[in-house]
Amino acid sequence: MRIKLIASLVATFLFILSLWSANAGAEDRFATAVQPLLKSHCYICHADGSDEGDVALDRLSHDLTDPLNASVWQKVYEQMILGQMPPAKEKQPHLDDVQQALDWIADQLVEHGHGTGMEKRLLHPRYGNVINHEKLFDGSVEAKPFTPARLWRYRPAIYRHMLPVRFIRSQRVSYSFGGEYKGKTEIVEEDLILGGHNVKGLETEFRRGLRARVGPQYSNPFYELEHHASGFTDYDSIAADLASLEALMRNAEEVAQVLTVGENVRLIFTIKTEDSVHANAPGKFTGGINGEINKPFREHLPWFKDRWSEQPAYYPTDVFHPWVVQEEPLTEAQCDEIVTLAFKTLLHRDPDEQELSRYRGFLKQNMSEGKLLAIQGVITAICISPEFVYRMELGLGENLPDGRRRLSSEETFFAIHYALTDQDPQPYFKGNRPPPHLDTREGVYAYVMQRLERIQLRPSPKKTDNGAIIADYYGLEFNTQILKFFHEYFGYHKAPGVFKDQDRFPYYFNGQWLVSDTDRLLSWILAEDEQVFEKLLTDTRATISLRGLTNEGEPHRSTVVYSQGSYIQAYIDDFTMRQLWEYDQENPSQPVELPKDQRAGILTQPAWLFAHSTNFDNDPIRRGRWIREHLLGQMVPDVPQDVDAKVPEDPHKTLRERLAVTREARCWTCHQKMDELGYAFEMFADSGAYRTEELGKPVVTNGAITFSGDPELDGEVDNAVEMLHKLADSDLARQVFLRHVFRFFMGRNELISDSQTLIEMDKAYRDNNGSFKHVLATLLSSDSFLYRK
Amino acid sequence: MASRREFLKDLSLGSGAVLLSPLVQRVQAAERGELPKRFVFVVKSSGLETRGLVPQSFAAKPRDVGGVTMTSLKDAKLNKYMASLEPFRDRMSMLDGLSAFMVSVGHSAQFGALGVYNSPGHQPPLRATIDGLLAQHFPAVFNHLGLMMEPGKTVAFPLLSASGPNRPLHFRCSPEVVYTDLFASVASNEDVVKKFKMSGNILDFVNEDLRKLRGTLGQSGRDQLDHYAEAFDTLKDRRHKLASMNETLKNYAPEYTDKYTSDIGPHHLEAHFEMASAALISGITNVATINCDTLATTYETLGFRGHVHGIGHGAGDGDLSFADCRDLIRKFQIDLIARLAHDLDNVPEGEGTMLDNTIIVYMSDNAQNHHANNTNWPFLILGGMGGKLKLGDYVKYPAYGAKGHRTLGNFHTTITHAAGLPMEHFGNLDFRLQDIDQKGPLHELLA
Repeated sequence: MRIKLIASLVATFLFILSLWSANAGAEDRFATAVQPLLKSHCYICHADGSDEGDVALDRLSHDLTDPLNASVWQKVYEQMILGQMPPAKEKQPHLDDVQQALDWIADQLVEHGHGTGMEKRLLHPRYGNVINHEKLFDGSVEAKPFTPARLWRYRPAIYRHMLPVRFIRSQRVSYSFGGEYKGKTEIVEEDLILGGHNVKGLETEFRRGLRARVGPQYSNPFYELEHHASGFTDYDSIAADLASLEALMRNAEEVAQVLTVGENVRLIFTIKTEDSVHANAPGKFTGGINGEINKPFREHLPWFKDRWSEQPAYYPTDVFHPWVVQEEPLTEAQCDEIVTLAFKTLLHRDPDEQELSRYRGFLKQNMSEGKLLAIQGVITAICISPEFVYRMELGLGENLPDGRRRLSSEETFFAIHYALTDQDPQPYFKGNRPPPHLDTREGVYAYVMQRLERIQLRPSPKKTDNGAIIADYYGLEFNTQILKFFHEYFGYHKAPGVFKDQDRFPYYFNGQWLVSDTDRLLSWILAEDEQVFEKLLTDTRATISLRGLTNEGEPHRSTVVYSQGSYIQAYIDDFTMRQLWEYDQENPSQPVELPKDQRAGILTQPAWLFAHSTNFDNDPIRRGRWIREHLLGQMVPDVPQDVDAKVPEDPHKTLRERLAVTREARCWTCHQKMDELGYAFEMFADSGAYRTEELGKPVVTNGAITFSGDPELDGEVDNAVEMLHKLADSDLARQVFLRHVFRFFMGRNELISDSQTLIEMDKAYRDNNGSFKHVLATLLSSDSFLYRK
Repeated sequence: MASRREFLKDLSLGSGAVLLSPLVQRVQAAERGELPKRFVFVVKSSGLETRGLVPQSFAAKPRDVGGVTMTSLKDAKLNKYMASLEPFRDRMSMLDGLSAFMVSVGHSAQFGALGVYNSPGHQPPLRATIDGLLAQHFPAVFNHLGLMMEPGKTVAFPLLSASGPNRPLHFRCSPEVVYTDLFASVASNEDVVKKFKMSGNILDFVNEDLRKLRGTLGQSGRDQLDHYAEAFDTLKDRRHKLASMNETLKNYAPEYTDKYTSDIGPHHLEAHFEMASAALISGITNVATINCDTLATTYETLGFRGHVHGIGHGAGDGDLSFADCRDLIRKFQIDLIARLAHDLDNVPEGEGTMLDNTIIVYMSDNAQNHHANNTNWPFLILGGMGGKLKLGDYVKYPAYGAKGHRTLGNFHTTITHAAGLPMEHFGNLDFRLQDIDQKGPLHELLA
């Protein structure tokens, strides 16, 4: 007993001693690594009697057992890691010193069980820029890149192609039949086949749908929101939840019904008779015979099924029907056939032994509810299984000694496929097997380059009356994700969401026109694939879609609009694109070359300017913020909740004059990071048109690049064109662009351990004359992309 | 209502008190003499015009209550489009003149309408909205029942309600789906019952798969999977609760009519109101949000074509002007609210009826017009909150910036007070209103 007591006393003593010594170590570290930094950079406002923001660092206790102290240290950590403190206008400490201080605070907080409070937040898209840029690119990081083994919830668009498009979405197919109608009162399917003799069908449609309803009977189980600041929508941190499961279950049941019972396919026809009029104008057609033949797919005549299956819209309907209606109970072999067919139809693969036996068991277990429900159960279960919810990147390939695991060839294929597109992977997955050579880095590189061949200009089969206007008929085959990256990165696709006054922009004006113009410039740049980043910021070409000519030979855009009860063709003669662009209107051959002192790349295209403007004004703050975040790689906090961020109205003052309110000390801390960058775009009106005057006076267009961290980049600029040329030449801006490429295609923020991948991407860009394709192939064959841990 | 309480009590003793905790809470609350509280938010798009709410004439004289002008609806002649609400005139109020500069309007304030914060673009919600918050405090089998008229869809995320930061709440669209989810366990159709049982088996089966997969994942992957697995548990739990409430549900499940399978949007809305009413009465939910329409909705059954957006922009149809169309849409929605109120008023509860313990809020997601400004966000509120609300008036607030002016945030704060969850202030403040104390509830509405 006594021995026990002594032992426990000794243990207690040792424990206290260890605490004390750990604490003493921490205090030493504080004195050498943290305090000097605090003294030289923070104490001026947060010590010696000053306690701005209620923080006095000299009086802040290191006793982190007190949650109150811990919460203040968390705040200090947050301010420092987000680069909010010391304020940008003050002298900045050395990065290594900051890192040491951060490490100390983090260690103390973690040791006392509080955590830094930033762990989860740093995974969020809006904190992507927090990681130190210099460290990412200076080559000092030796860690081998990897991505944690992950489940990445499908984007809504991927799910749509996986299930609804194939099985649920209402399909329409139209056919025309020749011949004439002669005195028939009722039309049967045979009449339609013999069309050439008996009937003249004007329009015949096939529609599928369980209850022969029009419109999709499904909902996408996954929502997609645009993440603040980054603009990106698809990140691996977004979860599937109860709402997703409910919607998945509904869709699954619908598919199960289609595959077992089948569905009605409607054949809708319109037939011309002696009494009918307006046969050539379907909208006005009256008289004649309208009708439909609505029956299950399998009951239609063979010709119908053949025609249906010729359609790209054709997908399996009631392939399980024979088993449902067979009289005898299902045999063991039939059960296996059913499970295998279900896997093949839905997952494009065979079940493995274990799956086969599990699903067979499930099928048999449910047989008491009847064959139909039991088979439907198998189909439904597959459609809500993890494979229907997540891109699974577990790392099923080779194991490395350092603990990293490579994606298997199959995993690699799907990862690449969904990095590039939303489409059904089947056409690329021949014989249910991934393409060869995906087990080597070179093989992956080559495969990605091959998939990117789609990015090329293609001539349209259509020709215009006027040979001069051809750009509208040149398009680009994009891999869908690539266009989406540029949309979400630049944000110019949001132009249609900004309303402008009708005096300048008639009600039928559609901001989408501006977007498609900029899409086309992007397509030229990507197809050329040289100096892509520089061109994005400096290209002076523009493709301006002018559709045909007016009677006077004027280029115009036209659109069909609904007005006063009918559809009319509206000519936008009061809104030619002249309002927005300056180009040689005598010879508008596309792409047009714009004055080099007026435009420079995407950020000077009306789509981007429009998207980053308000209803009546420019929005220099948002434009400046965009550059600060997307090209300089820094963070700007959101407007504090207690700040009324409204621009004062005054018709006699320019926007710049009215925005002088942001110079107030409290506002300027953040606004100094945005306003000066944004003012350079005052050379444009809020419509995106170039201007020289504002309120009758010469417009003031100067601005500045500030606090970039690169002294060569910092400085005054005369206008946006000069600023964009400076940014285009900057290593920093290019690398920040590449960091965004990484984030978008990896679906996560870059970590310090991704440094080597980012350096490789930058090198690939420089070595290949500024090729975006090579950058992407480098990323998609990098360790970050291929290895899991 | 004694029998109902007895029934619930039996139920809770019989079949696992853990599963039935919300119901048990209810019973216990009832025993303590507390009555349940229910909340219904009926949200329309394209603005709720004050023109449609102001009574044609008043019998009473306006009275000044702390700068706010209140006029009793007693013997007032209600706007003709609100005739169906005549029986409830002493239990409803119209609010005119609350501003909302802390949210961004345009076509819709999105999460801002119920959350009172700026919610531009297509961005995730910043915080829980008022209905999401109430759903957490008044749990039931369905904590939040979101219903939406959107033909062709089964489930949608309309950017309206949220249970917390980055967590939008979903809305059920197809009446068939809602009916199955809420009432399948008591359906008379044998196939539906079998299917219900089958889907339970499927959930169990796939849940096992999830567990196996979990072992192969790292922490972040596990977090992802756990989220999904949790959904399976919730769904299963819900099925148990519904199954054990069969008797109650059988009494209150609405009749499954053609409306439920119709292709026509307005039929769906009628079905949604019926089901909301049944869900509230049977106690399977305490918080319902009905998203009446979107800008793309058409009201073909009301005698005009064209969608809500076009009508908002001035498109009429035939003899009907756009204003006529807007009146008819509002009347259609108000009639449905009146029907819901009647349903609740027919069920006795405590000293009064269920309606006395329910608050129905009719509002828009976009203030007072199709293209709104932030100066006026009108409301119609109806019901009671166990005597905590003082209704029966047309309430006109002083103009923006004037003394006594109040905001959208004050309205939602009032709901938290009436619900017995008093908050100092719900949502963001309008910092242009420097000279006004903006926090707190609308005291003139609280008893």
